[in-house]
Order: sequence, then structure tokens, then C-alpha cells
Amino acid sequence: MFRLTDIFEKNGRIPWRRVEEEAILVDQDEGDLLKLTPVGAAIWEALDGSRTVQELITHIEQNFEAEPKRVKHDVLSFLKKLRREGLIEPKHFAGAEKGE
Amino acid sequence: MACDFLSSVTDREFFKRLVAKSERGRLPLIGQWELTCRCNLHCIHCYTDVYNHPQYFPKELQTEEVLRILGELHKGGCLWLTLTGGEIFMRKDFFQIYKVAKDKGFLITLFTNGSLITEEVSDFLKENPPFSVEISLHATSKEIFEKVTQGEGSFQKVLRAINLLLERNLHLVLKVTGLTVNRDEILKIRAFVKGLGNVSFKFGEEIRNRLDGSEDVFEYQLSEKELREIEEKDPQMLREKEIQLREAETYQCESGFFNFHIDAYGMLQLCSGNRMKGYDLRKGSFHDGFYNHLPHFPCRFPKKEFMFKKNGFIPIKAVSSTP
Repeated sequence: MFRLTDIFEKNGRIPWRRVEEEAILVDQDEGDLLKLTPVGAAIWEALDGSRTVQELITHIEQNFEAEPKRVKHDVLSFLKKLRREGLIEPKHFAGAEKGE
Repeated sequence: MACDFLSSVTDREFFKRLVAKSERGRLPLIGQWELTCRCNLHCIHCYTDVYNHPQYFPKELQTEEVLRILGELHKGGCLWLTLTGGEIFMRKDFFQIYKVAKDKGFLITLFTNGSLITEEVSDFLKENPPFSVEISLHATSKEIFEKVTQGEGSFQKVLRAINLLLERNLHLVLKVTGLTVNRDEILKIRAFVKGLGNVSFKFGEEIRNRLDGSEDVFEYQLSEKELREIEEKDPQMLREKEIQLREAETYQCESGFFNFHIDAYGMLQLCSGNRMKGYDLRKGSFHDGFYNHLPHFPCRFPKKEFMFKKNGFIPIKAVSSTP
């Protein structure tokens, strides 16, 4: 759980790169090759430690056609998954409160 | 929009998908780039050391040339890039080149002898982490190690490098090539690596003739029988060897399809082990070289199985047309 004001950044140990509209991440600890969809890749790319969670949501809303409520839900779910997998790290993290 | 933005893919699926999108069934995904033949050490079995002389240095690619080619590799879709030498840290512009490559998103593996990795260098790598760093650990004893490297003090420096990289939690691979002078060290190195924890180990069996074609290096080659004797003493190594032999029966060389090699002088080649022919990246583009020339380069060993003929070990020949 996190607040909309929290800021996350990519785990610097995860090599990654864009492959056309998608992105590939290499999880060396697990030996996994992870694929991000175009939306996932756009969020990943934006996770540069400068945007709050809310700004990430706005960024996706501006770049993809989808209902704002759905965008918010999906971005938050994705961030939780990235966090759980250790793929992102908090840069500014307020604590264990719900993001919605 | 669906929230399933992240999924695992197997290498096979990944390659299949990319090939489907690729031009003429080829895609330059995996590259090895020998940035320099310069080295501060002179390992007895090294194939590039014959060009480790000042007369050859000016012929090596200049910074701007390297950066231009790097841009072309990125545009061409290269994902995994190994930077090797000689010794990569001998290039004064190495950090500049590395940073550009890193910023472009290449998954970079560094081959290094480790002796130039200082605290500063390891801090830089921590800041800009590579996919992995591979260091040659020729022995666990100073005497034998430096017999291989011919570099006084190199053993301590390499041990220091290993510690520095481990302290920074960087992905490390320690490797050794079996030689007549370190044959009794192989299993000790393996045990040492095991003791380090999360470090990978690679055992190399092949010695190549030097880039000028000279074959004096083969005096250090262990015979197939000697190699097997070492492997049989370690159940895991034996298992790995058996898997390697099994895979070799069906393995098709992918050089020119997904892989390529660039030497220190900008020649694009099929692989590090096959330099019979090259395309000059100083005169043409990487795209032209990879798609229009590489497919027609001769390959002496089209299948990996040739490396493991039952009647004995066949060393790969790597004769360079450059400098």
C-alpha cells in the first residue's frame, strides 16, 4: 500500500531496455526475462524517481485512451506488483497507507 | 487497458517473437565487442596479446567511431552487448563509452582481468550496474596466477576487485581456462568460487591460436583426457560437461543470425572465434554489414558439435585479418 504522493524509481540492478513498443527486463536473481506491455513499458520508463504515483497515473491518462478510474486502478496494481517483485524501490515513501 | 502489464517470457518465446518481426529472419540481438587489444597483463594463453603493442594502438577505433557504431547497434536492435579486450579499462574513454551504452539500455557484460578495478571503478559500476562482470581467476595461488598473467602483483589486485564488486552486490562471474600450468588449480578455484556465495563459475576448455595466426599458445592446451580427469573429480562439472556434449549434438551456430562480433579495428565478424572475414564498419554501416555481408562470410565450424569431436579436442581457429 502506498500514497499517491509516494515516489518510486526503478531498481538500478535490473537491466532493461525498450524493444519496439514493449520493454524487456532481466531479473538476474530469478533468472527471468520479463516482458512489459506497451502501457507497462510507459509506466516503467516514467519511473525515474521524479514523479509521484499520482503523476504517473496522469502521465498514463494523457498517453493512453482509457477510463481514468481504470487507469488509476491498473497503475496502482502494477506498481504493487513491481514492488512485490523488487523491481522498483521507494525514493520518497510515506508509509503503509492505502493509495486510493 | 488491462492491468496485466508484466509477464515472464521464456528465452525461446522472446526470440521467436522477435524473429517474427525481424528482417530476413536475422536480428543482431547479441554482440561481442573487443574494444581494445591493449592490456596491462600478458597472459600466456591470450590470443589478443600479439596486438598489445603501441604500433597497433592508433589503428584501434577512436571514441567518436565507437559511439557512432554503438548508436547503429542500438538502432539495429542489439540487446545484449559484451565489452571485452584486451583489457577494457585500458581505454581512457571506457567510462564514456560504457555510460553511453548503458544509457541506451544495452544489457552489458564486461570481460575484464579485474586488476584495474579500484574502489572508484567499482563505485562507478555500482552507480551504473552492468548485467554482469566476468573476471578471469587463473589460480588460487599467487605464484601460479602470476605465472599465467606475467604481471607482478596482479593476483592481489584481482582479489581486491572481486571483494570490491561483491561488497557492491554486483553480479560476478569468475572463470578459468584450463591450462597446463594451472591444471591442479581448477578444482580449488571452483571451491573458492563456491565459498563466495552468489558468484557464478565458468570453466573454459578451449585455447585459440593468437590473432596473428601463431600457434605457440597450444603448448598450454590440456588434452581431452586431462580435461575429463579434472571434470570427473567434480560431479557438478561432470554433469555440466555431459549437458554441454548433449546440447552440442543438436546446437546450431547462431552467429550471423542473432550474434555478431566487432574487433578493436571496427571489423564486423561472425564471432570472436571466426575472423576469417570482416566488414569494415569504418567504411559502411552496421546494418549493411550485418544483413548484406555477414550472411555470406565463411564459417569453418557451422555446428558447435565440431568443437567436441569424439576423437579429441579440436581448438577453434581465430585468425584475424586485422590490423
